[in-house]
Amino acid sequence: MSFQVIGTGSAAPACVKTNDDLSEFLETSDEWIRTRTGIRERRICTSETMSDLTEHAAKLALENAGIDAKELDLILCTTVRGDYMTPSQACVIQKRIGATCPAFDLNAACSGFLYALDVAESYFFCKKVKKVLVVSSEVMSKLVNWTDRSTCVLFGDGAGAAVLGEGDDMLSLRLTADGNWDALRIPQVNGNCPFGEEQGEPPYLSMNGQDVYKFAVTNMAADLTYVIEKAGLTTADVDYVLPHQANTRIIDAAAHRLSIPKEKYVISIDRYGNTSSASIPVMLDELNRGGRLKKGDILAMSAFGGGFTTGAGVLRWSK
Amino acid sequence: MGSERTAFDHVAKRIARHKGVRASKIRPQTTFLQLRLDSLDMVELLLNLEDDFHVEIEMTDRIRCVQDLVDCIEQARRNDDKKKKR
Ligand SMILES: CC(C)(COP(=O)(O)OP(=O)(O)OC[C@H]1O[C@@H](n2cnc3c(N)ncnc32)[C@H](O)[C@@H]1OP(=O)(O)O)[C@@H](O)C(=O)NCCC(=O)NCCS
Repeated sequence: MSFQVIGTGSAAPACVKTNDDLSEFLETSDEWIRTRTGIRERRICTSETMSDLTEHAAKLALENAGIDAKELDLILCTTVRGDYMTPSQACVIQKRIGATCPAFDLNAACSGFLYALDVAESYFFCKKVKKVLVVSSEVMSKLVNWTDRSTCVLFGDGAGAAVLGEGDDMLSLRLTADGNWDALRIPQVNGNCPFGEEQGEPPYLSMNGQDVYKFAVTNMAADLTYVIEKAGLTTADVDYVLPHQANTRIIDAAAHRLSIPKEKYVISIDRYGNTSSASIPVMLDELNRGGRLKKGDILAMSAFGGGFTTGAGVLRWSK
Repeated sequence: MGSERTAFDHVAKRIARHKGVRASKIRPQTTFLQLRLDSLDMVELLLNLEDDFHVEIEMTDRIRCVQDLVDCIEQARRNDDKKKKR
């Protein structure tokens, strides 16, 4: 037994920053950002906190599932950094939505949502749970260096959630990890220990874009091929591909290697930038609310991120 | 010469497919700037060629024209052969 998705939700901060807005204080241009990444604008938290976004997405998902927070047996929150180091973001949300179940955070960078689905699947398999909330929430605007044009233009803030119930819709899942802290990392806060001898790095995201690009293209194509086959399906059976939204060029290059028509790839990066682990659940919610999903549709998801991690899976839609 | 010609033809075909231009228009001295390949096009091209030729190609500023890239591939193949013989 795996699970079925019974509700989805998402939330984004109100403030929209276009590429032209960024050109006002960075040496960049709408043309460069658009042609290199596909991003036109992103949402940035100004007065909202991550907890606000997460709560909003979670409540919408519960409402869409038609269940009360008290019915939840587990809350899994994926994020690279919650509002607090402790309590976990999952505990903050448990309180805010009025749930009473165990709750914990999971960090697999941009692959977090798929990693959480894998954890949830095991809980369902062991019959420990009947209802699980997975909520992926990221405020990347607090983690990038806004004077580094090669990284800050790429990211945005957002949250996406899914409520899972008993079922058999997760047809295949694959996680990988390949430890590497050179290509992409965000150092921890340093604290002010009077005995510390090392200054520590500034706590901003740094990245070797081309190494990540290569990793992403190679793995996205290979992972999708693997999970589709593992699900006993062919690429022709796939109705939608939900690829992690880091760069449309990565998606195009991976698509080149697969025989799935381009129209089946869902794109939201133009409006949100890279929202790390939130990107896939946000797209799932937009498809659901947009009325674009019908019972039996096959969705192939693929994510990659810092770690390096990758997560991919095939989900049947039966809501 | 034979293998170099084949390598050139293969690279030209890859570029042609990627950019939607005719392979016959691509000459050894044609630069990537003329072909309007940006840095991400280059990364993707090298990725594909690495798969095709089973070699690792290092991206350097010295790769300016198609022949530079063919030379890199040939060099990588020779290094690979040497490693295998050892
Ligand atoms: C980040 C990324 C778009 C950069 O593209 P790239 O082709 O590798 O770009 P480079 O870093 O080689 O820079 C190319 C040129 O553009 C410039 N540049 C970088 N950022 C720029 C910006 N925002 N605006 C204008 N120019 C910029 C560079 O300075 C460089 O100029 P130069 O050639 O004069 O030195 C690309 O590498 C990428 O998307 N990688 C994957 C990243 C990713 O997915 N991360 C998230 C993982 S979850």
